[in-house]
Amino acid sequence: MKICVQWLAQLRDAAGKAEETVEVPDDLTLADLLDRLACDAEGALGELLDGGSAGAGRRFLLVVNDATVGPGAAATHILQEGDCVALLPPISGG
Amino acid sequence: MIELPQLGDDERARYEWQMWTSGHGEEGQRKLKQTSVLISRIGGLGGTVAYYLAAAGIGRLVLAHAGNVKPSDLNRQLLMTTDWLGKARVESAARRLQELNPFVEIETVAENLSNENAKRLVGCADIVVDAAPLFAERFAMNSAAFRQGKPIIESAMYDFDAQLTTMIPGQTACLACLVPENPPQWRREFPVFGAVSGTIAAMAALEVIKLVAGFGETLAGTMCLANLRTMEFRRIAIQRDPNCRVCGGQEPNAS
Ligand SMILES: [Zn+2]
Repeated sequence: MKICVQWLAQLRDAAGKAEETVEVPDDLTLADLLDRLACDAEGALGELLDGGSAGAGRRFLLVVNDATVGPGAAATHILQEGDCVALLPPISGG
Repeated sequence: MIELPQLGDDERARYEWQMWTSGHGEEGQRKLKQTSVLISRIGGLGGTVAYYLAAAGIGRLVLAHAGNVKPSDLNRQLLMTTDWLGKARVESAARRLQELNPFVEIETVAENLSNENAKRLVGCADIVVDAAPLFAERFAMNSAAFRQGKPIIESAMYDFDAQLTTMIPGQTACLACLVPENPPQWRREFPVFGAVSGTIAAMAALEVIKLVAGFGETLAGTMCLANLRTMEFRRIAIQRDPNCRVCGGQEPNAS
């Protein structure tokens, strides 16, 4: 199935693009997706995604379509064809 | 129920146009006058929130920010002026806000939020605005605000990306639900235009005004994500983390 991955803020800079479509097996969980993305990423993006679901998954806000999924729920959250997964690094004021 | 403060003729004249706003009126204005807001850091974000809240006639502002005005503040920190370089930020801010609106009571604290002062400073306010760049300060404010049952307006930006949400203790996620640990990759210095911090600050000030006056719809339970480079705005639902180290399984001790 196809999933849309959106990179926000510093992740967009590191990925060099705002979004991409990835082909993944059916019934993939959000945690599995994070692990795959971490595995495939290189350079600056690879550093930011380090640790996959256990690392980046705890450092970034995970948004599936229009709602966040808590880090504890990523392992049981099954993705559907056409889902849009946004990874949002914590940003701050100033 | 505490009686709302009255408005004088000078105040009625000053706020006349906003009291025409549907749902606000003189009662909403008196609610603003009764309200104290703590703003954590008065830079590009917090300073602009303070400016709009002062213009709107908030009763009292408590401004917390350490340090002196630096040249690199001046592209976005609109309460700082060139002639104030090297002098205390909070004094520059108080001076500019009083020039704008002498009816607002201003208290300045030349300190940043920390675990040592958060309880006391949050205790001075009805609502708190988090515009601090460092997560340690934000976490200190979040914990104190949750314990005291005080709503927090959370505002943040990076480059042209901005985030805004309103957190209500016991009802919505808190900051620690969304950011469980101190992000190692965050740096205090980041790319920003003053118009970006100003945009999100104006929206943060509106969150305070709507929350106090009780009209419209706030962002509580949701987050506004704005990409001001492409002008895309999204609103996402944010979930509470049942295992949150601050609010998980806890009820705020609202007074
Ligand atoms: Zn929480």
